[in-house]
This record gives sequence, C-alpha cells and structure tokens, in this order.
Amino acid sequence: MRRPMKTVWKFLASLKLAVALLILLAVGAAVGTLAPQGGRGVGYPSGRGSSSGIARALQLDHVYGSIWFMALLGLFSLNTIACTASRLPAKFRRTFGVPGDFDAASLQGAKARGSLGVSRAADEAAAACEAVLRGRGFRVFRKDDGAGVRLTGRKRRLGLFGSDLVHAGLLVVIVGGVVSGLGSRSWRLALIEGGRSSFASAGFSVRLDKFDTEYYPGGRVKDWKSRLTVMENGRTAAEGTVEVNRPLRYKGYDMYQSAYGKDWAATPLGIELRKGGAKPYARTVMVKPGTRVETGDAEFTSVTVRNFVPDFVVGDNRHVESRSDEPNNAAAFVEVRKGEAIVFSGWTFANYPGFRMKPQGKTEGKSADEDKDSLTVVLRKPAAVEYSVIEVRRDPGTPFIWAGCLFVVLGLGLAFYWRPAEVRLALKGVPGGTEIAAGANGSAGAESLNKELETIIGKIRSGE
Amino acid sequence: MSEAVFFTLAFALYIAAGAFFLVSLFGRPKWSDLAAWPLAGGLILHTVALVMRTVVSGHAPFTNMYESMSFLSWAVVAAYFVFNRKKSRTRLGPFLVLMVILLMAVTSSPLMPKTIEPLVPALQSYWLWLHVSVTLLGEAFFAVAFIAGLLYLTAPSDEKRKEYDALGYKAVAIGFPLFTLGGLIFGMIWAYKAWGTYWSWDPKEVWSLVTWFVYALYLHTRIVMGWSGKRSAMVAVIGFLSALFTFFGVNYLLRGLHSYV
Repeated sequence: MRRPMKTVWKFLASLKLAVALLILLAVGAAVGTLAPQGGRGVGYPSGRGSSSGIARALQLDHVYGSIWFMALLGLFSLNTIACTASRLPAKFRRTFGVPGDFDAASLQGAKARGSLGVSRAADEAAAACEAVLRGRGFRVFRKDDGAGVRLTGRKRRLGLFGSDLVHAGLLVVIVGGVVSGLGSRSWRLALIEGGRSSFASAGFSVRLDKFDTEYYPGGRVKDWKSRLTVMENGRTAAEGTVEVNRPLRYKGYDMYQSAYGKDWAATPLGIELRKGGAKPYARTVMVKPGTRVETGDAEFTSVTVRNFVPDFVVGDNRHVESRSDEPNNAAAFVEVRKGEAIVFSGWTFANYPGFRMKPQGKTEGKSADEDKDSLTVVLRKPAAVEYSVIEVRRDPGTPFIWAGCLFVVLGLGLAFYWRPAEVRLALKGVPGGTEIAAGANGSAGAESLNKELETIIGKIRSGE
Repeated sequence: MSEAVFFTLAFALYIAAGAFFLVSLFGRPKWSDLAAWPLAGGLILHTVALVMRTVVSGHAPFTNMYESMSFLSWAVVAAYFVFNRKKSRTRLGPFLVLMVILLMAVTSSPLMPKTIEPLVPALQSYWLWLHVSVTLLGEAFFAVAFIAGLLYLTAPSDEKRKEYDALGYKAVAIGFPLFTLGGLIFGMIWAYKAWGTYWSWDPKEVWSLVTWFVYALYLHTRIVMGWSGKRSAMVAVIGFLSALFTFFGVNYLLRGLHSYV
C-alpha cells in the first residue's frame, strides 16, 4: 500500500479512533435529548438570535438525522470494518493454526500451573496425556524433539471471535437502519366502522369492521380492539383483530392500533322537538352536524344542525369554540323550519335543556314557564362515533435489524461465556518415568483454569 | 400481611445488615460475614413482597417508578450474593448495602406513588416482563461495578486496587450482555410490536444507548488498550450515572413516549 493510504488505513483501524468515536457518539446522542427535536421546540425562537442560528446550523433540532451524527456513524462503521479486517486474518491463523513451540520454563508464567510425575516412559505418558486432553474437549498438537514431548491443547477457540461477531452484528444493524431510513413507509388511517382505505401501490385495501373500546371499572381505557379485513382483488385476503401490542401482518405490511378519536362530523345527533298545547307534538330527529333532515311531517318540515361543538365555550374573539373533543358541554345550533319559514333558530345545550341562546349572543334566559304552545328543541346527550387510527407500516430494514441483534447477542455470549482455554504440557523423560509440567492460559478466569488443570492432572494420575 | 408490610420488613433487615457492615468497618471485620444473614433474610422478604404485588395487581411488578425501584433494589442485593460466594474482605458489601438502603428509602418516600393501577394498553404484553427485568438486572450489576469503581479510586493499597479492578470487570462482564439484551434488544422488539418502529430516538432510548456506549468504552479501553485501573474505574462510575439518568432523569426531566412516571 502506498504511504498516504497506509496512514489512512492505520488511522481507520486504530482503537484510539474507536474510543474517540464512542465518546463523541455518546455525547452527541445525549445532546440531542437536551435540545428539543423536531423544530417545534420551545428553545428555538423563530427568526433571528445568534443562539438559535447556531443551534440550527449545527442541526441541533434534528440531531439524529444531522450530517455530523450520520458522519460519526459512518466513520464508526468504517472503523469497525477496518479494525476487524486488519486483525482478523492474523487472529484466525493464530487460533486455528499450529501453535508455536514453548519450553517448560515458560509455563512458570501461566495463569494456572501444575506438575506431576508418572512412572511411564515419555512416549506412553504423552499418548495418555493426549487422550486425557482430547477427552476434556481439547484439540491437541504435539511436538517431539530431544528435549522431550510438548503438548498444546486448545478448546472453546470460537470464543475469541465473539467480539468479531458482535461487531458484525452492529454493522448489520447500522445497515438495517440505513435501509429503514431510505425505504420504510407508513400511513395513518382514521377509519370509522365500515370505513375502508385503499393502498393503490400495494393493491389491497383495509376495512374496519368493528371498533371497540374496553374500560376498566374505574373508567380508564383498558383496550382498543379493531377488527380489520384486508381485501385484495375483491376477496377477503386476511382478517384479524388489532390491539396495541398485537399488530396484524399482511404481505410485509404491519398494521398497528395507534390511536383513536371521536368523529363528531359523522355522529347523528338526537334533536328532540316538543310542543305542548292543544295538539301535542313530540318527535326526535337524528341529524348529522352540517346537514338537514326532512321530517316528512306537516308540523315541522325540516331540522338542520348548522353547527355542533362537543365542549362549548365562547372564545376571546367572541367566536364559538370547543374546549375539547369530549362531550362535556355539547351544543348544537339548530334550525327548525315549517315549510320555508324558520320557526326556531338557536343554540341548544345537551346539559342545559331549558337554556337557549340567540345567534348574536343575546340570551333569552331560562324559560322555565314557557308557553306550552311554543316549540322546545332539546339536544340529547350525544355519544360520538369513534374512529380507530390504524398505522400501517412497511419497513424493509427490519430483517437486518433482527439479524444484527441476533449476532450481537450470540457474539456477547461467545465473548463472555465461551472463554477459550489453552493447556500446555511439557514432558521430560527422567529415570523411572516422566516428569510433566503443566500450564494453562486463556481468557477464561484463573479459577476455572486451575480447576481444569486439576481435573486433567487427576485424570492423568488415575490412568497410572 | 400486605405487600407493603413485607417491603418494610425487608427494608428494616437491609438496615440491620447495613449496621452490621458498619461495625465491620470499625475494627471488627468478622461482622461483615454476619451481615449476610439479615441481608439474605431481607432479600427473601423482599421477594415475597414482589410476588405479592404481582399477584394482587395482576401484572409484572415494574410498571411504575415505585415498583421498578423496588425491583432494582432487590436485584442489587441479589447481585451482591452472586458476587459474594467467597468470604471476601473488600468493602463492597458495606457500600453496596448503603446504596440499597438509599434506593429503598427513595422507593418508600412520598415521591413514589404506590397505588396499584391497571395496565394501560401499551404495557399489556409479556415483553413487559422480559424487557424491564433483564434491563434492571443488568443495571444491578452496573451498580456493583460502580461501587467497585469508587472503592478502587479510594483504595489504600495496590493489592486492594487489583481486587476492586477485577470485581468491577467481572460485574460489567455480567451486566453488559444483560443490559444489551434486555434494554436495547428486547426494548427494540417490543417497540416494534407496540408502536410499529423499533427505534424512535426518544430520550429514554437515546440515554440507554449512551449508557451502552460508555460501557462499550469501558470494555474496549480495558481489554485492548490496557486502561485498566484509574481510568477504567472512572468510566464504570460514569456509566452507572448514565444508567441512573436513563432510569430516573429521563422520566422526570425529559418527555417522550416512555415517561411512565
């Protein structure tokens, strides 16, 4: 490699870079939680001011999609690849190749040590040792020369590659994130019962058959259940009940119970018309807001609901507003006609049936002793038609994410719980038999290495 | 006997263990062995309290701050017993139990509402069991590493420093895989099932990632750069502070989908 390339490679493959990146990523991510994201933050006065300008230039309002965060992640990926690529081949050779030679003296520095004497000749003893080692799961390598026999046993070597598997997993996760970022799509469908939504690009449509809200005894929401039918080519392709934590899957699209709402515009309101006197009249007409219903009746020919608010309040600008979506103070502006003539026009309140308000805001006050001949218009307490919000998502990145996560977990398992051990035995023929010096090393802890060595020595002895 | 009674009894036994440990620090080292008895007793009663809470509420005992902190305290004591198989003369016991007592004190304070609430739809999933328990178990081991780190930084001798360094590493070696699996991976799977997206950069998710980066830093600098020692201990301390912020700070100081305060 040429010099500049070599320097770049060395830099990319350095652990110092990894350490620096971990610190920068941690700090950068943390900063993103402290600065309001999404641009709607209170901290960003719209317009001028040096701090908001700097914040926006640094893309602090969308840290996780910002250029510098992406660059850090990109550099992190390159660093991981470079570190692995530069170290893996040698590691592979060292781990699976024939181990280097050693002498008995070097065993003094091992994590675990032991020794024993046996009455057999070196050759026989070596064969016995090999058998014991193999029985304990070691892969054995043997070297014979004038100084004696040296055996190297290795096991759980795969554990050395746990970190590489973790790194591979992280890269796959990052790839998955990129794929998600580029290719995921989502749609929010607000459906009332019987309503249907089409996905032209996907070729199917979703219909909400039933929507239920279940409540706990205290009144809090327990569950939302949406029964959905997926139709494709005019036929039912799939159906199921969607709840939070229980999505429905069809052809790579996942459908989630995301939210719900009240659809007052689709809610028929019960308008009661009552008249006393000689010819009593009582009738309830169901009228949706903004519509007119012909009664088919001679007395009062039509009822119109000009306006409806579930939670009536007169705002600062003297306009009628709704404080919330809940029917805390339901009010309807009703017009009742007899032929072409308007016989009633005004606000009627579900909670205050006797109270009436004229369009210009002049109140008529409670008419408790109303003329029995006059018309009373009462709004029944309404129950909204509810709509279910189903979120449909398609994310091609998720298989990569799950695969990456699996690699990470397996890799961590290998790295921390599948610890490699290497046992070395140096055999030397002495008058009367053979002396065996033993040492054990590896990332396994000293305790377990000692135990392993004790077991091996015990087995060699008992084979006597 | 209600769950609250068992909790209080466990708390009392933890305090007793703390008292024994305190004595052991002032020239009577054998008392640290005795402390294991009230500590174990407290753990058993605490387990009963958690089981009772589960039975009475009908859901996992970690759906609000009170329950989660109780579980975390329990997990830290359990982690201590995992570590203390040999009689050791380190000061891990006294200071870890001090932390447990502080945690229990906050848990039983009025800051943590104890009413049993039925589960909101988003929490109705078996992932609640897996995600929260494994994460808190991991954090319990991070707590051990935290104490080991602080003890390292204030250790009187090289020999003690070596012991605390090894303890800290062992704790992170157990805690890191648990936290990765429980916090990040199970969290991502559950988010995908509940909200349709495995990662939304919400403050709790981001801070658990920050915590993860810090412990990854710990492992890298130790294993490969030979930073073991003072710097290592400091990183372990910072990591736990980050974990605490993820657990507490995010709920109270930042807002998001995850604020189950």
